[in-house]
Amino acid sequence: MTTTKLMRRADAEDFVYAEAALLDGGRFGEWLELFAEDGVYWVPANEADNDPERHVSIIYDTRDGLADRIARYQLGRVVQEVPSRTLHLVGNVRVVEDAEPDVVEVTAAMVLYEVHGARTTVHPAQCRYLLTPGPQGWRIVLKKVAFLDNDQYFPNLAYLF
Amino acid sequence: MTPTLARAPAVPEPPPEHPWVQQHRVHRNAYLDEQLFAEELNQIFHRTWIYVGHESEVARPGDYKTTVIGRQPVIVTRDGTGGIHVLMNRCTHRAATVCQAASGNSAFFRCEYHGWTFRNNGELVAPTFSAGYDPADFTAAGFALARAPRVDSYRGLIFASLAPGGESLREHLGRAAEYIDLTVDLAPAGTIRLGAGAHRYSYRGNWKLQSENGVDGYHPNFVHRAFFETSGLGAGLFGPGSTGRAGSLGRGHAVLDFRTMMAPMMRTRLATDDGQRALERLTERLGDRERATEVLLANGTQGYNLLVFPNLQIIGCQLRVIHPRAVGLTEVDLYPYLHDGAGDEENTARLRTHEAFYGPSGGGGPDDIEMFDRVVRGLAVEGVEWLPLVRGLRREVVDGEARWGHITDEQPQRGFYHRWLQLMGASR
Repeated sequence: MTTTKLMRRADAEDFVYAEAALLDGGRFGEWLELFAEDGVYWVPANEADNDPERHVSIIYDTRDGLADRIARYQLGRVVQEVPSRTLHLVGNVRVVEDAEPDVVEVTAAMVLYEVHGARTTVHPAQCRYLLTPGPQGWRIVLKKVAFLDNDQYFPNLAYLF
Repeated sequence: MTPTLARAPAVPEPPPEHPWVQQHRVHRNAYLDEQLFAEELNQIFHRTWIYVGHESEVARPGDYKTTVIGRQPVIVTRDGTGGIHVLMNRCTHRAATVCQAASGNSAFFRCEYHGWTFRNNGELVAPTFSAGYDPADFTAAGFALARAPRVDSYRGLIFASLAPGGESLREHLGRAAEYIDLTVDLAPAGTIRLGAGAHRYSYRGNWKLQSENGVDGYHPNFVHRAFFETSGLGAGLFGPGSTGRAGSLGRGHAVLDFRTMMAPMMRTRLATDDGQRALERLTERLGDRERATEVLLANGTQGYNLLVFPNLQIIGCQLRVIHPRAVGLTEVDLYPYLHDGAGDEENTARLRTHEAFYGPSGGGGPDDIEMFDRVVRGLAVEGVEWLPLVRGLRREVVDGEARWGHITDEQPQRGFYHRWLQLMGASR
């Protein structure tokens, strides 16, 4: 039995649903604000889990890297000339035992739809968050998106998950 | 500074003509025709040397990896005595693949259909329930896994050829070997390794689009502008004033050589204490200070983009392998390579550098794929049949088999199709 949890499940659900709404609404600047200064956005390649220090990732962005990525997407050049529209369907939200004194671990299942021109793709994923409380609410220390099909050949993934 | 470019003499020995690939232009059907695609598999992928893996992927006895030659599935194995085999992944009984995993370690491959078991050198151990086979009809020796008749490696890169005869791997590589040497010599231990996984992506377009694009220095200034603007790198690296060179190296191999563009940065880095220490270490290993300087200035992470005909590229710190799956479907593997003898931190930094630009979410890769999609849509137009490859034709420098031009010129593509014509034209 878990005794002390920093975050209730309802709060975790509110958080990931609001985050999904920012992504689907194209409000990337506000989404970036959810990340802690030392936050990391990680999308592993080939497996659900591996050591990003030793294994290539699809994305392993610090907050600065994420800011560059968003700036690039917002220029609207080439692949973003017709921006991808996304729908993040998030569920199975659970608050895992507190990871550290000030950090809570949240897991969620995600079905991500992307529409890019005439193409619609669907990617199922397991998401894992490490969140820390701050004056403006919860901040992301880590967001990990493990695509179930990350051992397969991908089409472009030039948007945010 | 603009490079000095002499007027080229007439091109000697025109290769065989082909209705859809001619001197300096390519017909849209070269990217669309199913029959031509089948001929490319037979005349190119089943005849020349094709990269199948790196020795580090099969380092220990029993190690194996699976891949394809053209569209044919193969297993690259290392047997108990250290020999490397490239076996066709096809049971000699009812044709099922005998190995399903991407990689692993096993002395045997057992077909799950009827239980036939093969050693990792290809030999059939025995058919199951062997009393049902009469020696008059069957010998185990006659039903070993088929194999690529020729396997060889260069600096750790394993190649196979499905043709029993023909030029040696070293002959095939020609001057591409110089760039492979620069890549491998930079590693502190003198070897590179894979093992950090791979980016894998596919696109609905012909394989040649990717082979051409990896050594196309004309497009980055436009296609990758967003990356250059947000990363602080100037797009001028690929502008008219660039000092970089595009080259065809002969035998279809080609290069974009950025070394002159990177030289000021690399010389500054070499002048630091760390740079001087690296130079001392490399001089000791290679026994030649001038060569050590050349290797270090080549940078190794973005000194050049190399195309090894027809489908291997060394770009950034990746080995890129292009797999033709259908005339309009291509799968691409990007294997970041690591430096043996380098610190973990340095190798991790190589991974992060690679991810910044390449792969399905990289800062540059997706823009190329988007352009392939647009090319495929545009190729549907009839009546505009040809794609020209004449850029820089009259300002190139001839250097033996090689031809050099400005970084934005189309020597790499012309060289690629020259070799293509030699192989495809010979069939007609």
